[in-house]
Amino acid sequence: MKLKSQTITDDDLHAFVDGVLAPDRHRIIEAYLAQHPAQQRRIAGWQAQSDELRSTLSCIIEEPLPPELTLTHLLATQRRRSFSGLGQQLRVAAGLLLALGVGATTGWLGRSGINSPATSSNDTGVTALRLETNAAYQVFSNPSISTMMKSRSAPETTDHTLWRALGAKFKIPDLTPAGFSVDRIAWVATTHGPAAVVMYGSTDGQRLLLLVRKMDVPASGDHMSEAHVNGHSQFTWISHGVGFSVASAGAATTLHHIANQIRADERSL
Amino acid sequence: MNAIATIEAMIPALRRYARGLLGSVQDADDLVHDALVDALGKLNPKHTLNDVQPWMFTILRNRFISDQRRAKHRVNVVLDENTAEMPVNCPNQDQGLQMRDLSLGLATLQLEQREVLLLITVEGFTYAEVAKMLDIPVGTVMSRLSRARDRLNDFMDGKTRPRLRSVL
Repeated sequence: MKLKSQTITDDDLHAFVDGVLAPDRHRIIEAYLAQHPAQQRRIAGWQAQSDELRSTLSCIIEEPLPPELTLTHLLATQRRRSFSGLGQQLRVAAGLLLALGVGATTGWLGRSGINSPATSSNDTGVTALRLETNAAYQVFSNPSISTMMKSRSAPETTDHTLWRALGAKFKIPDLTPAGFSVDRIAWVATTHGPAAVVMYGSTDGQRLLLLVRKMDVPASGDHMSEAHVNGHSQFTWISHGVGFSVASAGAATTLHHIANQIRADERSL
Repeated sequence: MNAIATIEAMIPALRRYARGLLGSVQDADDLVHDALVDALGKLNPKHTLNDVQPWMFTILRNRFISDQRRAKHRVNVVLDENTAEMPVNCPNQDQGLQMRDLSLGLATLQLEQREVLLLITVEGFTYAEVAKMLDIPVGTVMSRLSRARDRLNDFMDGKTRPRLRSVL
């Protein structure tokens, strides 16, 4: 039986060359090509160019990688870039909240004034939205926090207000000896009440983030937990009913030292 | 193998694809570097091993397009048959000559044709995967593939020669 050429499309011919036709269809195309030498020459050319492209470009696969394309170098580059944007800071804050086991929405204080969700909860959909809205309302309708969000107060003047709004003793840690100064302070609304996020920067571009909130569970000993997530290190502990968590992409030993210093300073309040 | 290990294993293939797009070894490696840094910054736990590969190629391609718009990289596939940079340092002379011909042939293709041809023929993606990566219908992938293959056939048969200018 003579095959009707109109039953064959270019798509069939490409699939034939690329070896992705079903066996039945493959046989039909083979029979068609046997009867159509011009099309056979055409796809023989396609096949030849595919083979040449693959074999010739295979040289590149064998080339040694230049140092700047090794994973070690790339991850170091990524660490330098991390903590460099508000979105990243939000993600880190969300990570710290996960460490404290809460869901949250945020409201930024200081330069940005941006309100942006950073949810982390087992609840989803409308339930999550309702819980987040409730948490946000509970926090941002608090007159102390509302006043702080409107103000552009210097960090050192907000200790007392922070203390009052958090409902817990808290003093913004002075990390100047470690080379970090406060960039901005934000409020995070969690389902466990307000949390303060203090973002620090160093002159060489490193970022450090501290999240603090009042805990509704007692500390189980004096334990400080350590985690390494998404290229940054994190230390979390509870002290006098207040939960602290610090994160930075810098050296873990340095961050651990800073965390110990913060804990010692807060104990002396 | 986790997602980062998958990306690491893909780096040679990404260099090959970038070389096919750009022609220049240095520009291609710069592009791969920038795309990898972008990808590592965007990688999240939702990425499965199966979708990391097309996702990574999409990131490289998007980076290429955005660099083109900013004129960071000029496509340098062929300016002259005698001075064209060889995108491959092949140890085998025959392969080197073959690459010169292919480089000249690829330069006759429009970018949209070249990327489809490379992704399907060399990198082995399916038509549907390429359609998703380029955000175009499968039918458009097939028509670009047809034009690319026929044009390259014409070049290899000596019916067309590259124009002596940068292709983009």
